[in-house]
Amino acid sequence: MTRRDHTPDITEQDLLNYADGRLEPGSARYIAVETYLATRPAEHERITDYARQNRALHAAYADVFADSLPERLSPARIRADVRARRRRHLATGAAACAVLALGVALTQAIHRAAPLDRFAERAATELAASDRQDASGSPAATAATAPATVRWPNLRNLGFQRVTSARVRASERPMYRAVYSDPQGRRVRLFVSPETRDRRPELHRIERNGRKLVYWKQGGHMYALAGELSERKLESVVAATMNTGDSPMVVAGEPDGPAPPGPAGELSGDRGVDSLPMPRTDYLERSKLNGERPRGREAVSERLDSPLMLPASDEAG
Amino acid sequence: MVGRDREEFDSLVTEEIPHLRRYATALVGDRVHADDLVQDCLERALRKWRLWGTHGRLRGWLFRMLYRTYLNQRRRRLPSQGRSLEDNEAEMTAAAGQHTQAEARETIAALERLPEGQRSAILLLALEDISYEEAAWVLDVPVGTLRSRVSRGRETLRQYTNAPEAAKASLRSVK
Repeated sequence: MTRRDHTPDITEQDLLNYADGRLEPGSARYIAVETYLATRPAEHERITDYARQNRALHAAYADVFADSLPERLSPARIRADVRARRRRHLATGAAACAVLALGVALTQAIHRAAPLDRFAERAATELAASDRQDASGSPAATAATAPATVRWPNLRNLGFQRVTSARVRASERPMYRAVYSDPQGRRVRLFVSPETRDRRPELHRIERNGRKLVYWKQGGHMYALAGELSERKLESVVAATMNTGDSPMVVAGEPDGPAPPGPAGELSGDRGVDSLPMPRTDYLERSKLNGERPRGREAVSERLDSPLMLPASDEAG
Repeated sequence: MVGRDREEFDSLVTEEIPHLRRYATALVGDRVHADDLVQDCLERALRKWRLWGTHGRLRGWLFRMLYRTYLNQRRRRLPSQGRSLEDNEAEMTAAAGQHTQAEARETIAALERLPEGQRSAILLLALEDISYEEAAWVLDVPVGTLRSRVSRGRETLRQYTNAPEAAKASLRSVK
């Protein structure tokens, strides 16, 4: 402790405590300090000045101390505000999560759309190859495997008859092509490929090498269609193709793997390519004869026999 | 049980709020910012109320929290947003007598000239019923350092307030 003179009993801290009013008046220490200061006018003046400083500071902030408390400083109000703010933060967090989830969903949707776009690009490539082959008169290069179980849509109401159908040489997933022609010699080419995930039909368009291609997903398949037609007529053909039902392009009895390499001639449409597997048909026939209502897959198969779907013998030219 | 403890804590805190407001006003210079500071301090205190039991007297615990909040805010505050002598003078009580008011203004003006460490120590010890040991803990300095700061600060204040009027005026204009 600092000592300001030779008095052994009184310390600087005693003097400061006296100035701050921390000594009990009448106590032994209080009296000792007063006695000490009585004989030392300079020290007395110094300590008196300190005490005056304290009084001045108390006076300066007296009304702040005496003021009534504002509502916002009440503990109950502060707790309520904190709770409300926490709720707002939670709501903001939830909204942020929702936005994030939406972003993820959109990204996934875009990612899922990619196979369809790739399919359309492949179809456009095949279309360009077909155009070149048509121009040169050389035979088409297709896979050896016959699309024996593909059911093609019936476009006869629009004046088109299927003239050829074939499996296109493919490296990723199988793709099939049918060529339709009308009495004026105009051609429509339809490409189809199985797609495992069902999607709502959404039409997309691309243009490659001056040829327009409309493509979409529907009923577990991907479609691409091109024709030497007016826009309106092409739309009619697209609509007719889409209206063939949920899954007109059933591919059964054929593996989904890539087609064997090597060219092959296109198959004629009059070779029974539209037939469904026989056991199911048998069951349907039997059910109809017995008056039973078909169930499950059989019910779907029955729907495929819509007027838009012609048997192979009717369809083939 | 917890609810009752919390209610009791809230009640004890409420008793301390006038002290907190007074010290905060002296530190920051105006009441609005002082109330903001006290509110921030109380939010922290109410959030951490369970920790108080291990820290002795509630007043010291709250003042330490207030002072830390003040230091954090002061670091973030731009120089132009700092407190001014006019702020503090404006906050001085209008109810005080003319003589006391002049003396208070003079003391506040002198206080503004002190380094932050001396000013906060003198204000804490002069305004609040708090021991040197507790004040040292609130300000997070050793007791010896606190005593030294208070002694030097009080002496500077004294010299200023006892200086002739002309010298005070020149100091004021420098300020």
